[in-house]
Amino acid sequence: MKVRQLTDLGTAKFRTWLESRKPGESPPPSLFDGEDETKELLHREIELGKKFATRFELGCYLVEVFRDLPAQVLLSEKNDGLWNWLTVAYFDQIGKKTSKYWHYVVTRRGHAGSLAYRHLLRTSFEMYWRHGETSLVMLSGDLSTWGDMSEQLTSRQNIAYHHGFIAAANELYLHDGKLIKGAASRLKPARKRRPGDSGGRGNVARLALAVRRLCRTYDTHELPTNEMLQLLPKEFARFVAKSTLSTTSK
Amino acid sequence: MPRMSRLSNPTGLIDLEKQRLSIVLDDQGPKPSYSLAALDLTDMRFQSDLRAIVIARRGNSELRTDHGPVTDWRKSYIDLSELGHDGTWSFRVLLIAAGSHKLIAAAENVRPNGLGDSDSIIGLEPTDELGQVPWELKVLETEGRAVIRFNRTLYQNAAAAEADKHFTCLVLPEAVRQLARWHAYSPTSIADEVWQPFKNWLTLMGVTSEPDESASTDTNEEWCREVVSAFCERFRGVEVLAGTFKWEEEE
Repeated sequence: MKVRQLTDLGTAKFRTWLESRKPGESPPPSLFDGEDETKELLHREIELGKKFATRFELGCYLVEVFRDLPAQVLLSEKNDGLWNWLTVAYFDQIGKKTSKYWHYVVTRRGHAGSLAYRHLLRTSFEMYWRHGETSLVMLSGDLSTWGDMSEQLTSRQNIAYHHGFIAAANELYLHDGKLIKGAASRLKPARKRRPGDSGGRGNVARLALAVRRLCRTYDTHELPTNEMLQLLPKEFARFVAKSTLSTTSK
Repeated sequence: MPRMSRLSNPTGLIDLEKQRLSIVLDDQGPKPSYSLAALDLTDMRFQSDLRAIVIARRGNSELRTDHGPVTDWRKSYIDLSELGHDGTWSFRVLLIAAGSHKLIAAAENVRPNGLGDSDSIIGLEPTDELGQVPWELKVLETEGRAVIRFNRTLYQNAAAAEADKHFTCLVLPEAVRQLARWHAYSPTSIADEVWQPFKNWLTLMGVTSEPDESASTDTNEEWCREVVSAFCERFRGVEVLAGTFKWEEEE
């Protein structure tokens, strides 16, 4: 089917429908091809019945579909309707869970700035386009799951666009394509921590801090991943030990 | 473990003085952009194969750009539209050796030059190659900007030249005229995308017309006068210069 986009009216209807939808319900057909709610956008075909195991697969597929088009233009505000329509098109997979509306409708302004990064489908495309294979660390969940790892890696642009950081996170926190337990867990404040409690040590939030320190001395954007892993503090040792780069360099 | 003295420098990182750099920001046009207009490493005794990296920051967003070898760094305008809309602009300028990722020198929190200044379009560079010529204008056609190359015997660096009101009030208007003339007699150049910042700058000065290929020499000369006049009006060229004369008399 040819790719369409939701019009302003379509987006408003979609948003209203999301507020009142029941689990398992599909969006009204007019949001799919209604004359007022949608319009044709690109001469690109998508396969509607295609199933995706992860958001990584979805991102990879969309990058392929739009391969000759300027990604930055596709991601700009004027094309928000595209991502909203694609969400409608794959809603049977994306909407399995009932999450906040900003995961389905591109939301430019929220109480704390833009929430566009939380759009399940748009971010899958953007992160795969920016990072290719290493985007797996933030896109390893199924289509309906956002997850703490996605939130921590995509909420700040200086991390989300940082190739060195994403490559290191991909190497540290994934094992056989799955996130390692504790990778995104939060470090408890010192007063709540019991002696010997190492929960949250070496997690992705701590990695952001470590890379910020490293960037005072190294060009971390371009630092090869194996070198970055060697420079990380001891708290990352359990993750470094599991990484493939660590095993191959031994 | 005892705390390391803040005066120690275990990484050997050299602090690059901000006066040696000039970052020109143009955020008046449709797309914000910057140019690393000056990078003066005179007397720094660095190895010759260093590369200049600039990290532009705004709010929680940043953009890294490799400007190439410090001996011939890329001065063209870099698009900043990927960065956020909120927060103040700041820049890090890093020097790294070719093939290495360790920083040799860095300048942190570099603030861009004033918006809409002539610097956005016309950079300043000291040179030893001019003999008895005080300065010359070089138009960098592919980069969409021009550079005043001034005699180092007169000013050691760009900051010293900029600090001299005689230089800014007498040399800059003439440099602006030369650049306007260059456009007036090659009018297709202004249509080139790289010259968009120059067009934005003209608009900022209140000049909305452009040179016309079919126009007469007189019309083109009139356009050049309009550009120079708008520039001098904005920067109060005569007033500023008159102020320096008064000050000299009082001395």
